[in-house]
Amino acid sequence: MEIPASPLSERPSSAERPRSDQRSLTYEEEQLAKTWADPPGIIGKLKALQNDTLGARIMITAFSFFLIAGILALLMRIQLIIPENNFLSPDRFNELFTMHGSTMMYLFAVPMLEGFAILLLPFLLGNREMPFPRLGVFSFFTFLFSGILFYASFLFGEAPDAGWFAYVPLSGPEFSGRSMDFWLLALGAAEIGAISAGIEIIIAILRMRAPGMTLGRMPLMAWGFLVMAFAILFAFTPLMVGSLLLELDRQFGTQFFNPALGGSPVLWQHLFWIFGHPEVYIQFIPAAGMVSMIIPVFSRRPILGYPFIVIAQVAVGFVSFGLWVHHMFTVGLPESALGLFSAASMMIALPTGVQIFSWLATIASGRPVFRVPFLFIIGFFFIFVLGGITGVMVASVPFDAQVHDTYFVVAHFHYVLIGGVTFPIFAALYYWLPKVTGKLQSERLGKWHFWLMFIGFNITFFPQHIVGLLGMPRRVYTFPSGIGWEPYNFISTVGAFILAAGVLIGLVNLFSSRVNGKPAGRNPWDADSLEWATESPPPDYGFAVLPVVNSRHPLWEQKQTDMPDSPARRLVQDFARWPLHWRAALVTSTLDAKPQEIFRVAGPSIWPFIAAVGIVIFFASEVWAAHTISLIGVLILVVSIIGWNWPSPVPMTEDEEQRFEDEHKVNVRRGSSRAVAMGGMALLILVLAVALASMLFSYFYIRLENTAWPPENIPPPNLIWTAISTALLMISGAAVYWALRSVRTGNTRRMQIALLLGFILAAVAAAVQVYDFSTLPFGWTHNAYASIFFLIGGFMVLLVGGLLIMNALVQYWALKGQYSQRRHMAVEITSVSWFAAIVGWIVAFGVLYLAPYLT
Amino acid sequence: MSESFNYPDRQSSRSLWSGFLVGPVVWAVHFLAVYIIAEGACMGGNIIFPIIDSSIIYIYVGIITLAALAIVLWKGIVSYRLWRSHPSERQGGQAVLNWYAEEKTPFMAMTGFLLSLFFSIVILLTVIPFLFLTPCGGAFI
Repeated sequence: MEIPASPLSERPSSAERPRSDQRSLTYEEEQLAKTWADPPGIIGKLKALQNDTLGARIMITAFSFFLIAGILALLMRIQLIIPENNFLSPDRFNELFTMHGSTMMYLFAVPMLEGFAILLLPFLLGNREMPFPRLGVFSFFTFLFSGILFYASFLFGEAPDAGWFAYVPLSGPEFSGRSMDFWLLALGAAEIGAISAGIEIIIAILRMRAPGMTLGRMPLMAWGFLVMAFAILFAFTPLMVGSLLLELDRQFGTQFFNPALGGSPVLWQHLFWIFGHPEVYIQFIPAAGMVSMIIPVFSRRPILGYPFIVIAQVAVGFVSFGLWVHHMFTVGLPESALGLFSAASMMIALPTGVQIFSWLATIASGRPVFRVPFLFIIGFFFIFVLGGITGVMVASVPFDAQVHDTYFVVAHFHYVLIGGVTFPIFAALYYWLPKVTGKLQSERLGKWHFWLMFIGFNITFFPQHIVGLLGMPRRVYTFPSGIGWEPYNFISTVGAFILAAGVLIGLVNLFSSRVNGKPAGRNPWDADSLEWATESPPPDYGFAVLPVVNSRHPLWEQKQTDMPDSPARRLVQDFARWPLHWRAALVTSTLDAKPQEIFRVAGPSIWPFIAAVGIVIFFASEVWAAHTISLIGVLILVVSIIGWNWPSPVPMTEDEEQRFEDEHKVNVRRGSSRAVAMGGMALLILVLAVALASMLFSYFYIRLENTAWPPENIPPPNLIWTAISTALLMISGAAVYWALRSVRTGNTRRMQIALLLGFILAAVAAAVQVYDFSTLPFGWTHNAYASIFFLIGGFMVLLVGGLLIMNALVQYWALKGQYSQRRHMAVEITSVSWFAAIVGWIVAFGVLYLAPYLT
Repeated sequence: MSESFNYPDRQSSRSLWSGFLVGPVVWAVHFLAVYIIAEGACMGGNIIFPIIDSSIIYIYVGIITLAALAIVLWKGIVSYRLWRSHPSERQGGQAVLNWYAEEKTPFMAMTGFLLSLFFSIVILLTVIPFLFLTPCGGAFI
């Protein structure tokens, strides 16, 4: 059923819209379909890397975890339906709330949104593929395996039970068995998957948009995904560092969180909540992006206040990192610090409010059509706004002190997360799945789904505000009768089952529509964005002729006849005809999306799957402290990363390449794109820099907890050896720079010599530093100072080890004649990494060796 | 290549990006600096930062805040001028419909200006508690 046409004046007819070049491309499309198809067979499924395949796999896996976590919630509600119930034991209840919260936060919401991004971005941005499809495969399998490992804890009777935030000392070695190793290691692997996907999403959005899609014309959901992906890099990395510290305390006897030896349990809370609070916005911002896409379509008018929504998303992304202490208001921090975080916590309501008013104004000035996706958006408004208001209440320190750890907080964050994230996700599923499956879902079942979820949700969680204010604490497996909590808990449990019935009907709708659904056609909602210009489901290559964009609403406002005969238009037309036999995608400039490069997107490979197996072997074996097996996992990982990046022959001659370059004035890269590869490396360096910053934060926090530094009469570190190692490393940097200069001038022989020199110097630098560690009068389990000293020092030495492997590989490929003046991307990447590592080394060892003298 | 696609000069791109990012980044640095001063002076018992006495936190916070505001407002003014210097944006948002080469500057400059404005307010509001509260006091300590 088509919805009424938009009242926009002078809308182009469907024939005029920029979905494809009008000339016949049958042969080219057949060739592109062959080139872009995933390989067949079981092994082929492990290699499959099409964005729609991967995105759907990630979403299905995440949704499965959502259903499992929902069942756990129902079990908890059954336990709480009456006072003093014995349906669940206290220990089992602890496991269930830990698994429920952890699953929803780590294994459902973030992967689901990343899955949406990987699925939709190439179509939404008018390109053919994501920039690092193999990274996407690695991300998916890492996520899948880590989720399985996490739930395997039930099989071993060791399900995590210290809450989704795993506070120490409860999660530490004294009070918690192997269960928390499952939590730390399985979720640690999942975080690696999330960060990998984040890197891919950022590069796709910044460098792989259709020609003409400037940042000011980019769909708001892409803005949401961009902010989300950056926030993932900045938030998940401190959590990974925190998890590493806690796992080291548990397995190797370090003292980071042991106050008896200078550590601090509050450090864990900082590291966790630096991740934990932005995590809410990592989920909300892309969900708000979905809302911004759906509202204009069903209001039949362009969104109002586009630039204000963009700045609101960016502002929320930043300010969300200034709120973490509001989870720690009752810990005992200085009053001024509490005030600072309280103010920031209230402040975030401003940009969020800007978005809400823009959406309301769009609806109010449009002609809304109440189809199922839009109903879920209306539900989002009611629920999320209420959750936001209670959020401002708990941002106030005195109020928070009263309701801290009560069911009021449970009600608040479920209103925020289910209202602000789950409802938009369901809206998005109803809205975009017809594009992917080619079938519309039933409106009637969809409305049942919505109303049952909406009513059930409010019946479940609204009473929890009241029972929280009456004093009912969170995470208790039962409560006594006669204190007035019974009716609220009974109503909550009834509501939970109504909510679950809604989700069940949604599932039935999803599956039945695959069989009985009406064909969706290209654009069933008469929407404005580029993904609706493709077939439903879209072909593997997305667009044969890439669209050229000159509007925020290309399918509404843009007529092909409006578009001048530009270099970009000629480029996309020829790009549909060449290259057809290798997977080519277009790179455009960041700000104004002008064509810059055509590059070869990586093809199917088994190595990302093997790398994911390696990483999960590493994490899983550490659960049982099987260090030898975990080393095998590391070895598999290293080998598979080398195999993954091994150069492969290209079915293209340099003449063909040159002809296209000469004609269209864009670089043709038969290997990776320079912009994409350097961008990816820059983001990896950023992640490592955030990791180092988190370790340095931990260093100074532990410093604050100790009156003397170094404590226990440990002498300050000797500066001589580290000065020598630093000097050697800096000289190695000069050698690598010399190598880069040499290859740029075409002297590959000199490049090889310079690289070898850099290798030797850096290896000696690392060896000198390791020697210095061996002379220290303490081991890393001695006290918290020793632990953090060895952690930061060891981290930097490992980084240099990674550089040495890169250098060796580049030298090997240089011997094979891979590099020339024109093509030497690996040398560029190695050089940038080298220089970044030197800066990190100077900062890290500067702090470790000089801070004891200065503080 | 540069003739066909009329690439923007790096200077122009850098200026637009810095206008866009300076507000939030300076806020983040300011926020962290104020927090470290408060936490360091109160929890560290002036051990680490002997020069930061809790009784004169206000002075440090004031200086940092003025510096942060000056940077953000200056960048906001630069972005505002850049935005207003583009006639297409003033003519009823017609820039949106123009060919792509003209569109990026007004959008990035305008959002840079608005972000600078917003984060100036946020910087001011986040330090208001220092006017009323005892720096190292606290009901829960």
